[in-house]
Amino acid sequence: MQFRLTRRAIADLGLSVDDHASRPATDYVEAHGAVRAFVERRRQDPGGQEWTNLPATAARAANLHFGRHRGLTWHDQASDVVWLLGVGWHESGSLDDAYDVLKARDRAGTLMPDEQDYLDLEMSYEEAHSFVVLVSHEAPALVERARQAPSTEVRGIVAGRLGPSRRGSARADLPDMASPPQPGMARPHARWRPKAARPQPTRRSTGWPCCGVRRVSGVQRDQLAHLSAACSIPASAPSRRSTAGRCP
Amino acid sequence: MATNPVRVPAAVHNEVHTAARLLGCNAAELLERAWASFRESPGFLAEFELAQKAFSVGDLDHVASRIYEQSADRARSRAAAVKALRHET
Repeated sequence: MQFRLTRRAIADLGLSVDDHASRPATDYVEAHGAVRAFVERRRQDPGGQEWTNLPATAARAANLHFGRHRGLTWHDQASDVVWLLGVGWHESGSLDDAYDVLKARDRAGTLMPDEQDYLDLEMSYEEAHSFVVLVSHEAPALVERARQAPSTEVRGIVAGRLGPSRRGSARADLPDMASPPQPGMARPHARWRPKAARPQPTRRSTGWPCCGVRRVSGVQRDQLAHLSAACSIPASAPSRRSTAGRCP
Repeated sequence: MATNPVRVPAAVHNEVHTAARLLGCNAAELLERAWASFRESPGFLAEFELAQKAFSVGDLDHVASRIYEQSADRARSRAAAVKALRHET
């Protein structure tokens, strides 16, 4: 589960939208007490305990208190994200009461996360490219390790974070980008080179420290399994054989 | 075999458990079967082949472009789902 601030909420707290919009709130809890309160409380209870009825949206918006700050959060189950939707300064009974302001935003259609907020969850093109480069280097290496340990599941981290596994196969004839071309193999990868001669994958160009891609949604994880399989198994499409299962 | 939990929205969780009861299996077996079916679906096979071809010729830009395009589509679709929560006024 991720904890995110909408761009509107980031601006409410006086933080830089450019610096924070594409990062999970857990990365910058030090930036504002309200961010820390949001992460700590919603980590324990994503849906919250006290709610505000939104005038225009059928979503359960939970109240967040931090000193005189009042915010609304929403657990977006479909995306597995808890959003901090907006924050205001609360003076009970005053005309600019925080909750009234946030409700007015809901009426205007500017409270809930919009397309840009969801784009912020995704990889930029540069990040996607860096991700693919890492997969193209690391997934075949994982497969190679599996091949050397037939009938044993070999687990590894691909693209710095994800850990699909492949079971070792006795089929050493299968081509992939990590193996040198052998007679009778399908056409080898056009850029195949011995491992020692390969360039190190680009870590990233936008400042994340430990890997090419840190933010990976569930769908992207599916893509990873998909891509790691694509760059390592034979040229034929996946088997269409039916899988035996107890479910009818 | 090692197993791991999967997080899904509560509504999906409830539907899967209900469907599994009706089908006489448990939710994990139903998920396993659904995944196997998805892997054999035309959409998945097309995506798989596209990525496989691109990797086989070292066209990583093509794969990255494809992922990026899908990201934009996914953001659009998620935003549309949020807009759909608005009451008619």
